[in-house]
Amino acid sequence: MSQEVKPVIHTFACPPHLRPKSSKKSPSPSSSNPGSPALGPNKSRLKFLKSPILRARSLVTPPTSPELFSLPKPKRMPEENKKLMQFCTVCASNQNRSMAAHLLLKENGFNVASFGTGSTVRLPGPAIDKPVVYQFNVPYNEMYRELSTRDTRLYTANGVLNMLDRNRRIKDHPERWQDQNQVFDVVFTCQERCFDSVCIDLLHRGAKLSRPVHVINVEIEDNHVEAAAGADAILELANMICQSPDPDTEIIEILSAWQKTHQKLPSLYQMCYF
Amino acid sequence: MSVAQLNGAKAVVRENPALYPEIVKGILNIADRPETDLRRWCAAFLVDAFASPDLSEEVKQTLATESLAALLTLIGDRDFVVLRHAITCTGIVYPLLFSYVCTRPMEGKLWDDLRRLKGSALAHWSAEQRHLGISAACIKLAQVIVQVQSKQPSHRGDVSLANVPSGHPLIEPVELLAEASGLLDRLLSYFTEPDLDVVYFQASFNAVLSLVQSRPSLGPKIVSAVLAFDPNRKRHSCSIEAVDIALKYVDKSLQLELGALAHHNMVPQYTSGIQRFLAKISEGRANASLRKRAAEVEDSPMAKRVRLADADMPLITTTRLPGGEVPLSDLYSLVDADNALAKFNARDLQLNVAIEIAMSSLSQANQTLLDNCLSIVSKRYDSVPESGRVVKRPSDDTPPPAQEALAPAAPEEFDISNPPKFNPEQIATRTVELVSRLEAAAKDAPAEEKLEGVDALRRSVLEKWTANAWIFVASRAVSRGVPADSVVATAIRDHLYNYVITDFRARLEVMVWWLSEEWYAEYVLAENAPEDSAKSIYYQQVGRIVDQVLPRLEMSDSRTLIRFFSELPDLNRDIIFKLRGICQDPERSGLGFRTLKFLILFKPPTKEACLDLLTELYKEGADGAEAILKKHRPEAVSEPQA
Repeated sequence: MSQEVKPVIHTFACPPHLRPKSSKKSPSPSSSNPGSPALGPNKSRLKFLKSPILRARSLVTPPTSPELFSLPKPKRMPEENKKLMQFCTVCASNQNRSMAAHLLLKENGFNVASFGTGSTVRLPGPAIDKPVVYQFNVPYNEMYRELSTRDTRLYTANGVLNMLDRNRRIKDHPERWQDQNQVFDVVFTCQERCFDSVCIDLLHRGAKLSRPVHVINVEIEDNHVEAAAGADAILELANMICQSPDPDTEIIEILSAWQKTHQKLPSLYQMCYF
Repeated sequence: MSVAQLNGAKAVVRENPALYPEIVKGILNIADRPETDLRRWCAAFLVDAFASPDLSEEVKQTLATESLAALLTLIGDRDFVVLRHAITCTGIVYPLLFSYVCTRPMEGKLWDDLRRLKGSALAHWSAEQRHLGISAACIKLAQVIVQVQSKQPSHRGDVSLANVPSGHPLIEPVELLAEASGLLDRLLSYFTEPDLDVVYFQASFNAVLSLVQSRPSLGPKIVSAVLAFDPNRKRHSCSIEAVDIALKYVDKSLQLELGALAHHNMVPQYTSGIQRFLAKISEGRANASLRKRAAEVEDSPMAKRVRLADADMPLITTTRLPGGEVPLSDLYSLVDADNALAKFNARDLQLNVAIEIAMSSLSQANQTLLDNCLSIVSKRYDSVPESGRVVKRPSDDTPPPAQEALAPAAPEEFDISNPPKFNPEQIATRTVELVSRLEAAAKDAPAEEKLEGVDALRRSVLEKWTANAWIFVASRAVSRGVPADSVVATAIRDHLYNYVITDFRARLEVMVWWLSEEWYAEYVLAENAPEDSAKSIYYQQVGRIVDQVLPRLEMSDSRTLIRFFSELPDLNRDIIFKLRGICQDPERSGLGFRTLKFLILFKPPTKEACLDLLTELYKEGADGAEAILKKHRPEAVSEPQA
């Protein structure tokens, strides 16, 4: 139970090519001026700049066009990015996995919300086939009070009361993904089914707002220990995304680097639109 | 003014979204500020405002007319973050302003500005674009334009060409329709391009799928383009480490969203096509790892140097050897001396491994390269006697054999004495040994190959040695290769006969194959086919096999017997009359009659002989004959009664 969250010191293994670029690095052409021929002859070079090997090589061979140097360098500080980007975490019931990650991201200064994709909120009950079922708009506090009067010993032993106590300090009630219309830059889901629900829901919404969103699934088992570990991993990934000067372009490399250090948390990714 | 101050405005609208119009008007002048941070903030704020679910369409429309000038400034920006937001924003305001102009034919300037905004935004959609955020925003904008500029009869709130009143002075539907069609083609062309970038792919895929939903008439065109997509045949633009993960994401996208399309039957004529495509994707991934590795090797700049398969010349092309004593290996060497291959001692290989390597290399060799290599070696060889050098073998631990010094031998000095002739017994023994060896070699070979096939012989012998390959060789050799009555032929025939008889049920196919070869050689290829079938080798062998097989058949073997008789190329009276015994056997007579009935029905040339046999059997009082005769030769049945 992650009610008392330890202060987390993250020393994540961000590979060199993903670290924020120093000023010595090759300028990144933004091709902002469509009329400028500057990028034309460098087409092939630019195309492969995404590959780390070739990007490193581009340090050795400076770009031939002088115009490339005059283009502005992308620079964004991570802390600033945290404030600029909207994150959200999604699991089935908006209780355990999404809330553990919600708390951790919030404590680390991210703008974060959390949701569930299930039809109802299900909590472990007296038996595996007898879950406690609530509607999504019932406040955590109410659930806490009701369950503590119903059977304090049971719901303390299975960790539900601790979890609800943590959750009621984060927000009022569990929210359902399909019933809200907020927009985010990055959505973390904690289960493939939730990932599917989010992607299909976005597709059915018709993408009328044209806003790109990165939907990332981190497969986390639904128990307290795994939820805490998963939250750490999500925080690490969120930090890596914020540290990138151009997360839209580097997202696959970021996920690949992150996945290397988190083999037990298989990931999925989809670029969608709101 | 700083970003921190501006964030205060953000906090205000988060509390009360109704204040968006007011604040947007206040921040529009930031669009041309020199500070990048401020312009980024401004562009992002505009996106937030237009994407806000709390503002009505009318409010957003008014806000869009007011923000158009600022957007035009931002779309000319050089910062990629500003651009990403500005293009996203263009995608949101385009339908709003389009519908605004539809109802206000006098807004000529606004329409011009909107077209300029659209043009400037789409100019960022190019192959050189390395910021995928900008590409994704452009793709989405293109989708919005296709959606707006199509003729679909639209429902309430949906903006399309249907909203344009006829005779509108500004909007020309034909021109816009053509532009939309061009943009759709460009969106769809990505699926057939050789490069694959996950983010670009998913952006395109999501964009066109939302078009399938909003404009069902475009559905078939879009889905057929998407189904031509093959992620396994693409060059990946991500790093080598990320290829696996990228393919996984692409597969998931295809499965998830095409699956949803098929599930909701949104493009009915393609539903089964989508299901087949998805089955192929999940099936193909299992063995795709090999292909993926191949792609990686191609991508590596290091790998290009050792790729010889496509080259027509070897690495070392010199046809002259250096002066002094030269090791023999240099004569043949076509790779660098410091190449690892040149240092490798081929003697370390086991003989069978070496043969296998040599055979498979030869079978895959590039013919031009091989010819060039041979001619280079031949020229080097020719140059040796001219210069009079002695070419020595490389020093070796083991004492070299007799050819210590090798000068090209003169052809007249070379002689191989003729081997002693074999006597007939020796020939027969050697032949049997040879065929047995072939058979033994076949035991380890894969058995999956079927016997029939036009080029079966060539394929089995030259390309792939399979379990049945020796049958091809042996039966072809015995029927055409050696004199019919020779010792060799008899030996091979006996061997084949023993082989098929040992397990005639399983080797029925082999039996038919061999006998067909015999028949073909005797009756089709040969100029004088034997008139008397008693002298025919084919009939001798068939008779021998039938005599041996019939007594061993059981009632459950009716399929085997019918198949054997029906697949033999020819049957004569003698062979058919061999069935008499089995028809008279009370326990197995059904087997014989069933075979005769089958032959009468399906092998007309044998019909008379079969009916004659049946008539005889009928006269002898056999039970099963009457029923068949009644149908096929009723006079034979009625005769005795008459």
